[in-house]
Amino acid sequence: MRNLLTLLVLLSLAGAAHAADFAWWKDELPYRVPVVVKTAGVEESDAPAQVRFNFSAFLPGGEQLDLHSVRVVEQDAESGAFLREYPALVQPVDNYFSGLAPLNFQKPYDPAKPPWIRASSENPANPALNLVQQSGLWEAGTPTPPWTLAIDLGEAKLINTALVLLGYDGGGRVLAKARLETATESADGLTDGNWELVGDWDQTSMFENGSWRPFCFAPREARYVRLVMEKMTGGVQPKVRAFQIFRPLYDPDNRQEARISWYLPGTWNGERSFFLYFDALRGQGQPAPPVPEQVAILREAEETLPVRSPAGVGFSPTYDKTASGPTDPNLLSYQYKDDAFIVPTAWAVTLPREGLYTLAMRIRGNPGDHQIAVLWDRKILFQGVFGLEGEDWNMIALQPQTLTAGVHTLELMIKKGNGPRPVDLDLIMLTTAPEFLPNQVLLAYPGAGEVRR
Amino acid sequence: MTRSWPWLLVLTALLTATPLAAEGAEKWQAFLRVRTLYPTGQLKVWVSDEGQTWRYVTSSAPFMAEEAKGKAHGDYLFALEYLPAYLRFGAQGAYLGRLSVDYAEALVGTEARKPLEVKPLGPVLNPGNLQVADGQPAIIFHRGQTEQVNGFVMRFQPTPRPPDRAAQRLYWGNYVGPRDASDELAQAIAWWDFTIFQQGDKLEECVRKVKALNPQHRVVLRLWLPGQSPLLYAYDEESRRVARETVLSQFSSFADLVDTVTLSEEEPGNTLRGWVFGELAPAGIYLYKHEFERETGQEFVWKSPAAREWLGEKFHDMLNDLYDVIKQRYPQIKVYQWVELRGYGNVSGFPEFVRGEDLKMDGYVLEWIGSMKETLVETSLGKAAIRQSFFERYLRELMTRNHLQPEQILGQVWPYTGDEERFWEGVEGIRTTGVPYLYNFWPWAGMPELPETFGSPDEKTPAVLEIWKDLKPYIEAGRR
Repeated sequence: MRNLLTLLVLLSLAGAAHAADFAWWKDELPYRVPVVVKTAGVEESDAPAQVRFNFSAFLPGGEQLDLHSVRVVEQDAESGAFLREYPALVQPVDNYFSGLAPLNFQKPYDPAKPPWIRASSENPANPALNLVQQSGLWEAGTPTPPWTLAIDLGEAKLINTALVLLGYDGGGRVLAKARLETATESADGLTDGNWELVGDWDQTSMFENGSWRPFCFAPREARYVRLVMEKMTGGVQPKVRAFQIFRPLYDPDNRQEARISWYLPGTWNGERSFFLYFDALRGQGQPAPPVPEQVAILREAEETLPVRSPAGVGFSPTYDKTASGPTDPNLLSYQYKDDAFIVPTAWAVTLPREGLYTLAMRIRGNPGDHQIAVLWDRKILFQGVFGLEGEDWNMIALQPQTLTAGVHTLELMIKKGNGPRPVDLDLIMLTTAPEFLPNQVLLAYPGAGEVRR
Repeated sequence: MTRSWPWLLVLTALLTATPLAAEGAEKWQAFLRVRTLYPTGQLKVWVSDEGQTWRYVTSSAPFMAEEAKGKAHGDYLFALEYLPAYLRFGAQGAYLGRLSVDYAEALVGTEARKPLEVKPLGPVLNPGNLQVADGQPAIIFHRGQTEQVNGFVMRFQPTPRPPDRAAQRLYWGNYVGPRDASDELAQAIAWWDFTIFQQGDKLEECVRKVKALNPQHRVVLRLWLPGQSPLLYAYDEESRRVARETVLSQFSSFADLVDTVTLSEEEPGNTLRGWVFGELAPAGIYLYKHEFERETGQEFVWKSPAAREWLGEKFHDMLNDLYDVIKQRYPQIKVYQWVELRGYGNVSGFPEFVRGEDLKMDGYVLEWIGSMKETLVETSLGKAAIRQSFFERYLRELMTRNHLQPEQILGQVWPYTGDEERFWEGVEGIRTTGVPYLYNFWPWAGMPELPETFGSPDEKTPAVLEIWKDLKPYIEAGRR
């Protein structure tokens, strides 16, 4: 049996003592960040760890990170001596950058400047224009599908996320089939052009109506983004309350933030000392290291996309010292008087290769049964019940599923369960570790970065 | 076969099922008692006589429902009709999490029976803790595997198994509106053992073709009644005559081919919904308010309980009179009533106005019998979880009170939901009551594999066809 260790580390001034006294591992990697990994008093074995680090905030001005140079090294906590290098997975963050507004917002609206929006039809009382000025309401003007909404950003821009909020129409009438496409060229900005599919949904579920539907995809250049709605149930035409486009948070010129994860084999309990060594980009940079045999991709709950329904029944970010993650807040908590609402969360997840992945969640709340649905690229991956035992955090996990490489959208829809306690979500993790039996997640402490003199 | 496990589950159940007898503590000869450290609705129990084929019994969900309302967490007791050689319990299906089990024991009557062997299934931490009630649990892990059971198997010296009283031979029917009388449709209908036909211009022609193809085919007609007619029927002789003739004319020209007619499917609702949802008394009712006042001695007040009861009584009388009229003219034809046991919740007529089970009848057509329900019953050891079909208790009482046999009932299953597991649970639930006649509800149904007889495809068609893949060979196997 393998227990789980997970950690999340961000750059912080608080940190490991005496890290500067540790021997430098390799001269050709002139930068390093210490990472202290601690168990929480429970023995752990073969466990994954993860660090999220904004390299551009650390590197001297004008220097860019060589992503392929990042190495994870364990050094003896007492002597500082080199112990071992670990195969590590280094991924640019797949989050989007929201800034003050989505790329498609323009307020006040100036018809001479982008962005523009076009629709195959619209109800004059609810025109598409509403969607570029604010989260308004567009309603199709004809009952005949397909219905298309297209945003024109004015010029090709790097984007990686779209959020769609469907108008709630009651009566189980939902958008049953749709696709999201982008183009760099289009004569009419709506139908003609080199459109490429980046995401779709093709099933009717209770999860589509009244909630944000996220589309996370690999960063791509696009001037046009369109949502083609092909089928509504109940013979009605669609309504959309928001259609928002975002650029990636990871931007080589401005913000090089990445997650680094690695596995710690063996059984242990206590505290261990690691370093991230890396270099700035020089010339062509270093060749890409191989993808580690076992990988783990962790998302803190508080990193969720803002997918709560317009009724406001979403998780609230909050802080708890027993939750993982150094940020404040570091978990999501939801409390309502009853078990009425489905609480949504969503993340972008990048898988380095196709394989069997286990999805695990660290969660606590009312003891007993809770409804849950897991959506993967807007399709149901699992729908059923999870059970919580006791007052403390529980780790629950799905059986391994075959998932493909690339950037995906992971959504959780859960319910609070019966009882007075809130439901708290700490993190989710996708891992290729076999026979994964979750036990406990540990806290980790970052140190201050160093430059070799 | 895709999604084969529900089918196998039912097949297993059909091979091993024991129908529930009348409710009572004496029925439960054995028990499984499980103590978990934390509340859960996910602890499931199966039995087996040989350790290979398992029959699902019930789960801790009914206990969890009570705990969610504030009842303290206690031991989970599962009632069994006998102690089988093998008991299995644990987690299965769409559940994520762990079950911390302090201890488990089987009882025969009130005596604990020691297991001959205990084996963990799947990932279980500290399985040796199971047999000692000391607060140190064996921890079962489950990760949503549909078919895998993670938990324990216990082997016992079994007690004798009660005899199987479930229906051995099933007769399968359809519910059809014969929009045409094509040879293809007749062929498709004739494949079934019986059909509930709705009315239509081509009804007689279709029935004649079906009977020519399959003389054994049982023809059941759903008759329709003139709308909003109970008061006219009660107080206007000419209207009553027209209503009677309207009913008889729907099958008199081919009565020799008709086995059964039914009187009351949606008619009470169609009539009463139109009447009672208005704020003003409809003219057809107000016209006879003096009759109400004469019969009851009360002032007529629209929507008063007395007025509602009066309306229901007149409908009840109309249905009973039509029963007599049909039986007088065609004594060989059975007259069934539809009894909406649950009610649609929107004034279906049953049971808000008409107590269907008190009507004159030769049998029932049941709707909505489908789902199984897990519930708690009082036993000699306290409340225990069992699983039974929703109407099982009701149906047994009904048969007893009305002196009906299971053969006088047509039970409905509902493949149109597309929920295969629920469909087969419905089959099992009906069969274990001894009812041998089952009919499918799927709109326009002739034969699912023949689209030209089955009506227009809709979004549920793929799921219906998945059920049909298993159902058709199941029906054919039963006929052999």
